[in-house]
Amino acid sequence: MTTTRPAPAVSGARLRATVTTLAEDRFTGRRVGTAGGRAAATWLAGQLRAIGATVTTDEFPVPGVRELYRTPQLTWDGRALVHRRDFVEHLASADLPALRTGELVRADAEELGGRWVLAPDLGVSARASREGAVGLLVPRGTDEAGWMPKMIAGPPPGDLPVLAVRTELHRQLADASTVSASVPLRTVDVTGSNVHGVLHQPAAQGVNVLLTAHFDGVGDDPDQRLPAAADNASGVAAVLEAARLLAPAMPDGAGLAVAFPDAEEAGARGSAHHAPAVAPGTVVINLDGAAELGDAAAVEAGGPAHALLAALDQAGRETGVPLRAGAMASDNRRYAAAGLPAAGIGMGMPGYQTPAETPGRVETGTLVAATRLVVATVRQLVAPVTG
Amino acid sequence: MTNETVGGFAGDPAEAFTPPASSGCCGSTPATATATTCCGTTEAATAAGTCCDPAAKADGAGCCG
Repeated sequence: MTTTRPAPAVSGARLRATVTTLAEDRFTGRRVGTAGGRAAATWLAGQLRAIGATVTTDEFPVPGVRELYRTPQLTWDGRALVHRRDFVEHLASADLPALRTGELVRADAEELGGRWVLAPDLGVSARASREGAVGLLVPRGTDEAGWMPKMIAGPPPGDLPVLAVRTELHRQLADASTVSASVPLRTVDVTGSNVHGVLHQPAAQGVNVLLTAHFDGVGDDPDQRLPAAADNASGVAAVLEAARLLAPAMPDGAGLAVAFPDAEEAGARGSAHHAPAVAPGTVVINLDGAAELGDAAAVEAGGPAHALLAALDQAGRETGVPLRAGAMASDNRRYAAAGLPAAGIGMGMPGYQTPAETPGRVETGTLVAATRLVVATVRQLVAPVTG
Repeated sequence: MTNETVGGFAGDPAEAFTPPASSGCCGSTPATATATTCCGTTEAATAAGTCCDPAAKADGAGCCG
């Protein structure tokens, strides 16, 4: 296969600048409903205006977000363990604002009341709650760098405080006698804000394309940054750059819009709010992670997306980006569920939802490849209109 | 030096409609990230009570453990 089009003038420096900016302290990891998240939305709206888009924002409610309001503590026989290295809050946990100390017993102990329970999983929850246990310690793995990733959406809170402890430590805790722990984890109802930009007005009979990339993250911990550079500042950067390159060359009869949904980390709530309002037939390309391509980009398709997949395939061949079928649990599923042809593309998230998810981990080459892939795909899609 | 590329789908693009659930985490991970309990297989993640199943974020729930 030969390359038939000149490579677009992608700016690696501009892509990196977008990632670095979104990862800055002022945006506090961009969790939905926070001042940092709102500031990021405002900054992105300005970026879209700067490339000629007509910009709107759209607020929506996001109930049930889990929020750490202080750093959890866990002490084992006087030895303090390290949050997000040795243990993390479990999303099924009840709020335990202050330290509680108790004897540590195994889940099969005769008496659980007034004690911390070392359990293999949450199966003992009902009994522990009934008997008045202080809380549960369950095992959990880490990523390759020894971090325990942060989540803000998951199972609803239960009756008991629950901490997830690094698997090896959990085994060692079998020898412990006393544990003190707190789990300052509450549930908050917040407001999200999607950012929309129209770069080329849609045509009733033409091809309309919507490029999407969620801008929110899981947010900083109370005492630690989680910059969310890969997930998904990298995807936002590539979509913004692709839109900048595509807008001046869109033919009449082809529409181009961008959406930066909020609250993806809280259950893809922003795209769930937006998808029903998107014009039928609009082709959606969602980018979630453009930081470390590896062997191939993951692609998941939904809705009537055969033509979109063909365009992606051809674009991959033109740009030299390998593609594979891979699960993409992201906003693309919301758009596909609304009946739109939608594809989710993932090109890696090093440091996923940990303090190690820094701009330095985002590969410039992957940012450029993602941008070129998106640009080439859109050009394939609008080629029949161009003639 | 040629213009040959190795991009695009290696197999049938339509497989993207039913992708394998290759990750135990929310979001996408590199295809090679299979060695840890966090970003390994769904089965490994479930067994370790780690992360989420692949549908977690879009469903708004689904974390293991």
